[in-house]
Amino acid sequence: MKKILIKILLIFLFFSISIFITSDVGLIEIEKTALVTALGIDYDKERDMVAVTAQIAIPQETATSTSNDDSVITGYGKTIGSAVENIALTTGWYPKLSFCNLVIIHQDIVNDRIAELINYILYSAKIYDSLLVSASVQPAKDVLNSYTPLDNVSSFALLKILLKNPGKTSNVYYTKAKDIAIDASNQSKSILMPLIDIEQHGDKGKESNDSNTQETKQNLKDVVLNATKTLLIKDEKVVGTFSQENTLFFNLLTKNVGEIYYSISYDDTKVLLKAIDSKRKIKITPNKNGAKLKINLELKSYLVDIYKNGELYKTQTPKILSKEIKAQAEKYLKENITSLIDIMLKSNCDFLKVNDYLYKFHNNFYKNNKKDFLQDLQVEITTKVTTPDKKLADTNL
Amino acid sequence: MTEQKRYFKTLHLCLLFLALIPVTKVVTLPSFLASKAGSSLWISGLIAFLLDLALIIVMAIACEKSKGTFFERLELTFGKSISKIIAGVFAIFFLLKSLLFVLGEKHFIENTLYEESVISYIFYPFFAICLYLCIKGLKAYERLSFPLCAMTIVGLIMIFLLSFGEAKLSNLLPINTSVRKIINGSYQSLMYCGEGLYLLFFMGRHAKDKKVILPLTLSSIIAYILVIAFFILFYSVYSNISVTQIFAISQISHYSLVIDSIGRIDTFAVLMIDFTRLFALSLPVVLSMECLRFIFGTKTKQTIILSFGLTLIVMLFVNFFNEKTTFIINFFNKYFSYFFILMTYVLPPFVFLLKEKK
Repeated sequence: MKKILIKILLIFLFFSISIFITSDVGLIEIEKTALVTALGIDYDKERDMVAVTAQIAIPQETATSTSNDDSVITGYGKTIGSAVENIALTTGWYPKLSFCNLVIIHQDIVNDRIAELINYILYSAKIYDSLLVSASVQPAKDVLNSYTPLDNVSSFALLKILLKNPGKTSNVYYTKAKDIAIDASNQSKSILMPLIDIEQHGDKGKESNDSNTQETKQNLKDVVLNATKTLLIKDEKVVGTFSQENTLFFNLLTKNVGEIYYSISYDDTKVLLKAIDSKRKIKITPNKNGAKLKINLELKSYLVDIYKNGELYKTQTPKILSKEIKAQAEKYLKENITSLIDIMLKSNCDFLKVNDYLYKFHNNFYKNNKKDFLQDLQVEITTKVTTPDKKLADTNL
Repeated sequence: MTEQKRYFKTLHLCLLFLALIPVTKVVTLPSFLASKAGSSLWISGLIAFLLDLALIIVMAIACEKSKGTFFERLELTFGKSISKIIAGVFAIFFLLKSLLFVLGEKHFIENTLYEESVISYIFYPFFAICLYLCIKGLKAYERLSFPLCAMTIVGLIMIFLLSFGEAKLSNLLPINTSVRKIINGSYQSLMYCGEGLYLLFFMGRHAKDKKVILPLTLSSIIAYILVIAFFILFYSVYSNISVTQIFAISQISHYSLVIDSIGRIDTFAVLMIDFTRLFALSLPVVLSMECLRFIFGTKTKQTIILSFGLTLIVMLFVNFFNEKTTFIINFFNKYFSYFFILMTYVLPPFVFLLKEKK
């Protein structure tokens, strides 16, 4: 009798734990729910309010539909939080933000709203700070309403673009809400985020500021979302933009290389190179005048193809680099890193985190010379391009 | 107590401490400590844990030397009435400790395991488990020690592996937090510590198979190293926004590229940690019940009634103060911290002064 009682109690215990940890009783059938995949933050001039657009993916039964149906709902409010609440008021359905992987903020309101957006994400219990944050040239609502060849749902297409090579160098920069919050509050106070631009694809698709008309909806069909530019923000104010090349070189300096292509041109020659590995070192040292920034970048590269006088030049395999190409490639790398440093000094956006580095690793020096160390920064750049097979590297073209 | 009733082996105690110590310190304590000591949270934690370790060693010595249980020795020294009063004070202390822990756990479960706003009854199975453990007593923990330890270790290793890529150790620099803030952090975190006290109630139940001091000290050191490593990982990932990450363990591995590729496998790790937490947070209620068992007797009917009453008190408290967690934590920190420290760190070493059973 006692053993039976123990068994019953054990079964009850197991059952209780199962209910407790699986949320089985709290599950809702997938067709009966709707998920917010992305949020767009805009400013509505007419209403003088923040407009938050939620892109909603409504899962469909496989038997009834073959593709995801998507829609957008916009809510208005004085703050981002109240605009999200307004979505609930206008639809009667409170948006579930836990599946939201992307927030797009219109470039024009970054200055006024970026701090509010960070706070909203950090302190809201139902939205994860692992989501990606980006800015957009056109209103965020237009980006969410656009259709691209990559995916019917624009936010899914954007995620594919931004995370095409996660953790490795690419020509697109991506950042998570958590990293933005950290960067905004450290000593450098500089944030970078991708800038999404709706571009024409063939003769269809063009940007529009009025997203309510039927014409605009037609214009946003089959567009290309370009995210190769990067927005620079210092002290919560936009201070500049990276071009596609700047973005690539910033990524080269801060991330490992998986596989990346870059092209150089000199005289009448155009060369496409493939980098497969990199060695990078950024060293910041304090000195009497301020600080010295030493950048060392070494790229292991293959030759992909060469155009001379407009004609494809035939090369033998393995496609190793000649001395001339190596020298030109090193020059090209140095020029681009120099350009990056110029942008940093002009915009005062400390994206290489010089001030934060000095605060952390040379704290006494930082405290004794409390100033913006970008102002008197001395820079030394060394670049090197290596080819995988050194014996064959000296072959002339 | 006869030898048959000495059911706890050294291995069980070691596994139990290895399982229970980390899980009670990796959920809300990291962000709480970060709010007190900033990037030096791990130093604050280290100081508190050294104090804890000292308590564990002292209590392990007492455990090894003692022939009778704590209550038997209490009765021999003070007589029945006073020993029952002391047991009553311990019962109240453990009940208060459990109220604080269980309230926090309810919020943790509701905020991390559920996407929807949950209804309160979803947490009720916890009280069923609690009731069962109260009736079964400490013996249940002996049986559970191995699976609980395995869950804690596997869960923590998964969390470490998933979060390591996001960590920047430089975030812990500079180490220039004022000593006052560090000590304040250590002091405030003592409310969450004090596992050494539990040994007082395992005293006399421990089988005299092997020496207990060294193995228990080593397993506790491993447990504290895991916690300190987690603190370091936590601040390395979150830097100066650590304070905003209230439920550290459920958030920290969100950023892994692995999760981007294959989905939320970190939830398995969180569930494992949470499973162990159910038993870790029930332990103070079980110990409170042990004290009541000493006061009111060990008959089955009494045990069931008292266990039910005790669990009901915890359940009603949690239901009543559901929306006032922050207020309750601050209230306990303000008014009960001295009482907690007295009961956890000051009184237990006096066990050496109690009369020994012949």
